Amino acid sequence: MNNHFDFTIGNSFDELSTLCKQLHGLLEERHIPSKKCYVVMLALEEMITNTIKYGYDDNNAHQIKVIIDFAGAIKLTIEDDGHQFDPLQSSLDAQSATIEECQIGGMGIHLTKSMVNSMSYRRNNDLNILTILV
Amino acid sequence: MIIKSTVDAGNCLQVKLSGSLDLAGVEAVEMDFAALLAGEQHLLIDLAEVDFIASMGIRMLLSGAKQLNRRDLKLVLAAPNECVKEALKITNINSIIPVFDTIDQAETAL
Repeated sequence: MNNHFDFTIGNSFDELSTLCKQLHGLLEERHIPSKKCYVVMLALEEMITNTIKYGYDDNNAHQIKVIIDFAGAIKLTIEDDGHQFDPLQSSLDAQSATIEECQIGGMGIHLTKSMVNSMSYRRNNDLNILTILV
Repeated sequence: MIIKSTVDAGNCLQVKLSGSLDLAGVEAVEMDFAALLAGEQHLLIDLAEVDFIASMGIRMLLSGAKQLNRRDLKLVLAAPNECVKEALKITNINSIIPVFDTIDQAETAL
């Protein structure tokens, strides 16, 4: 069974919704436990929603690459050419955060960081590269 | 995401949501949900059939609660599954909107 899938979408919510459905189908085919499935879908939606909403300084079309790897832990890699943004540096104190205190996009990042096993960020060749393990 | 049913339970309107409260789900129900907030009753949101909630969905519920609170009405959440319950806890929404394990507990609290 193929363990590696590559997707490329444009920076639009319609394309993100279509990708979410495709990925959900893949997770169901593989009988991924519901909690893991929830976390993968959450990470995908929250991180790419932020990129589409806040990641670009122009109105041009951009591509977002998503790679999911099922060998071992589920590894989700998201690459975009938006301006440099490291979600791990987004300031939100996990203990004192209420929704009112959340910065724009902050709630989704906080939620994702809290539920995934690990998240790492690097900037390479003008790309934001986010690697998430679930 | 659909609003599966709305039942007038006397002291509150019970609203049963069904599906995913993700980006697409919020878009699908936000107009109908806004209409329910215009009433003069407390809202009890039954989440038993909600299998997924993302920050967009949490913001929709929070915005609803704030609108009702301004008119001395309440919004309460009931019967979330384990994943949804954890997401509500992580975002601290349960410090602003009461969350109950069962419909009965939520009704009693109103």
